[in-house]
Amino acid sequence: MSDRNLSKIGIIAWREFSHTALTKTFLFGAVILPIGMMGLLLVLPLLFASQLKPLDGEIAVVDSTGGFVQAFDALVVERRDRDRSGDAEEIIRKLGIDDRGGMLSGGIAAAAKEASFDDVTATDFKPDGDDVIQRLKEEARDGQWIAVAVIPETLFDAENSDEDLDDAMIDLFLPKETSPRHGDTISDLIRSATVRARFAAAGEDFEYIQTMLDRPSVDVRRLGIEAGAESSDSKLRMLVPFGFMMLLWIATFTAGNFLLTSTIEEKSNKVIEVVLSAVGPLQLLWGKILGLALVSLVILITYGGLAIAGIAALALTDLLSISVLLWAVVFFLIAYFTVAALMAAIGSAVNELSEAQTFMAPVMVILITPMLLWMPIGENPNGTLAVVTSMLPPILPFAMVMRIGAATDPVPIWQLLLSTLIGILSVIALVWAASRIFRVGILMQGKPPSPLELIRWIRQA
Amino acid sequence: MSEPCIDLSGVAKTFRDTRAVRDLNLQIPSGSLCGFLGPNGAGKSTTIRMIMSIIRPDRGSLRVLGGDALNHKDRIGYLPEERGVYRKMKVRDYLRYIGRLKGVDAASLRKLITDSLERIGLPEVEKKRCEELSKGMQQKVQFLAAIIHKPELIILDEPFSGLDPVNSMLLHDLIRELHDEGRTILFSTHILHQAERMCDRIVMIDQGTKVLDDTLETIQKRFDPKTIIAEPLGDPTAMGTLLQGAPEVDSIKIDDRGRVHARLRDDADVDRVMATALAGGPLRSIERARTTLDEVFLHLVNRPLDGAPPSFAETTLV
Repeated sequence: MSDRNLSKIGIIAWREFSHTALTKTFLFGAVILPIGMMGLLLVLPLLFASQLKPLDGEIAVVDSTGGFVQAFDALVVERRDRDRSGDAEEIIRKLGIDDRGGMLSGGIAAAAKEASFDDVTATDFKPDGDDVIQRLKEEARDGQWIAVAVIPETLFDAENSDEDLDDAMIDLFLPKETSPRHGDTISDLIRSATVRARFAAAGEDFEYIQTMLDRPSVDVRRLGIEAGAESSDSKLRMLVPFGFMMLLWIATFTAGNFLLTSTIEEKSNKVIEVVLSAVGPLQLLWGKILGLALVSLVILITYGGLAIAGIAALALTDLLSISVLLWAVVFFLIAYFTVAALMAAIGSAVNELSEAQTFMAPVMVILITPMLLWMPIGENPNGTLAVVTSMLPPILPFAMVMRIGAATDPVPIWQLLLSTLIGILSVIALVWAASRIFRVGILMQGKPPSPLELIRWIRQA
Repeated sequence: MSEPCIDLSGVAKTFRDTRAVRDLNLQIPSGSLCGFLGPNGAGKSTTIRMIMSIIRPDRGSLRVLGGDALNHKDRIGYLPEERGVYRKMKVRDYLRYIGRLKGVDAASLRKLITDSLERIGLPEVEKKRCEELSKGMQQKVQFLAAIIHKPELIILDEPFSGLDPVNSMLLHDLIRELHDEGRTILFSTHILHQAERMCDRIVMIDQGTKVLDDTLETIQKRFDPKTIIAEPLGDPTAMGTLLQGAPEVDSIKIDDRGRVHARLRDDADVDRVMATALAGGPLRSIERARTTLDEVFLHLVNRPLDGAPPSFAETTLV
């Protein structure tokens, strides 16, 4: 192909790219919006946390035993300490996130500090008829108490049967303005303090028993191929293959859809013949495919960049390696050219977007299959199902990125190479067939062809 | 003799059961302004698309500018019958895009576009989106896109369709200007009198077959009806009798309007017959009958007009 012809392909590619990607709609919808949403996901929890008022004040407890208040105060001290440090770290650790810098747990703890309770105390009252309870309720209405709790004596008697304990209920009175969240917190504190008080009444050391029942944490480490290479286990690991596939899907199908609509638009606008007077149909096809490949790349970089930034922020970079990313790029190219060839062929064969649905349906059914196979492939990335689907065009790039994304077991290099080879050969065949359909279909008007006619076009063109 | 600008030999194209073009031989000399005429569905657009290498012929050979049109697209300007614009694109961007595809360098395009839009009477539309233009304006922009790269060969498929008389005249002048600059122009139309006004050469096709291919001058000579039409102020029968007596007159016919049509013999001296008519009494008018391309075409394809069929000296098909 001469320089002049290549230059024409470049001109078409640039038009396709600039009229798709350099528009306000695209920049807003495909670039700014996802970045903004990601930012919101990070900022919103902190905003919500900052909105929460800590619980602060005194609870009037009507308790004949007099043991409740002590248990309550001990519980409040313990909860406050836990929320401010240990719990956040535990949550992060259980998620498998290596938060060595303490950025996340620190943030959660800071939010928790704001969100939980500050100085909550309980004051003891002896039950002396309904007058005491009525008075305390009046005082709660006036803002003196944040709650009034009436604890039945039967709750602390170890001799009572289960039925008796079940029938005994704590009455909790809250001022009207108490928020639902604070109501839940007070209720939870009262119930937990009752359990503590019950242990104390029975002469048992609650903290000792709690320590004995506490299940130890497990630090799961994945052994690498080389000695000494270990990585922390992560529940997020299962999401990575799905993320890889979705990224590929979004990038290729968004650009593929643009290719479909731009081809149909050129046909319906009848501008196609003007363009074909300047370039050949194959130059037009390649210009469109390459221009929208750039669009696809922009989407991939935007979403992929956000994903990588998130992974780096969570210090989960061991889930990704340079080689995994390079292979992902290889299979992205195979996926894009597969989808682009199909969309260009469909776009050239029909006159309106509604007519394209007939051809799109079977294509989508086939290409959506990998999405349904996420769980089995992610669970066993080197199983028979995973190996077969990653060798099967046109779904192979989607299946293979899930395998390489799973990373529990490296994909054998021969399988990667074989899949790449099959992928390239299938892309060549698809682009060849698409170019034959494109050449005939692009000038065709009227009734859209049947699948059999499409095959005849491929043979005749 | 120099090589023809367009040279088709035995070209044929069939779509399913329809034979759109049948063994077409056609040579368009360089520098000519050729009308490619025929009724709707005659095969004009199919032939033009094959000339442009947009579709391939089933058989036959086809040379444009001495080779394959695919290799000379930058030297050819083409205005298709089915023409459109990128609706959302600005006029300037659209012309720049087509110009770049046609090989015009980016630096010179800006001035070229501004000057050209001014020339076609649309100086203010440069920054407008194509969809904001009226149909006639869009058509002028499309014409500009076809010639923006100053091509040697210009092919226009039904360029006048949809244009009002003012814009038709403007387009007519532009085509003449381009021809005067030495460019070869082939344009198709089914409005035959338009071609008659402009062309120096006429090619007619019907049902995919060429029925006429000659210079306009030769066609006019060849299809001369050799008839004088006299409209006497007095009795037309007397005038008819007078002319019937002249040895140059073959036959006489008087129409509903009282005009006397005197058909002359092949070797007749027209001036003498006219002098005879003038001597026969006062006349409202006297003229030598001329054949229109419509009449030639209808005659050639055996579809005579209702009423008086024209009669030509020569009726051999090409």
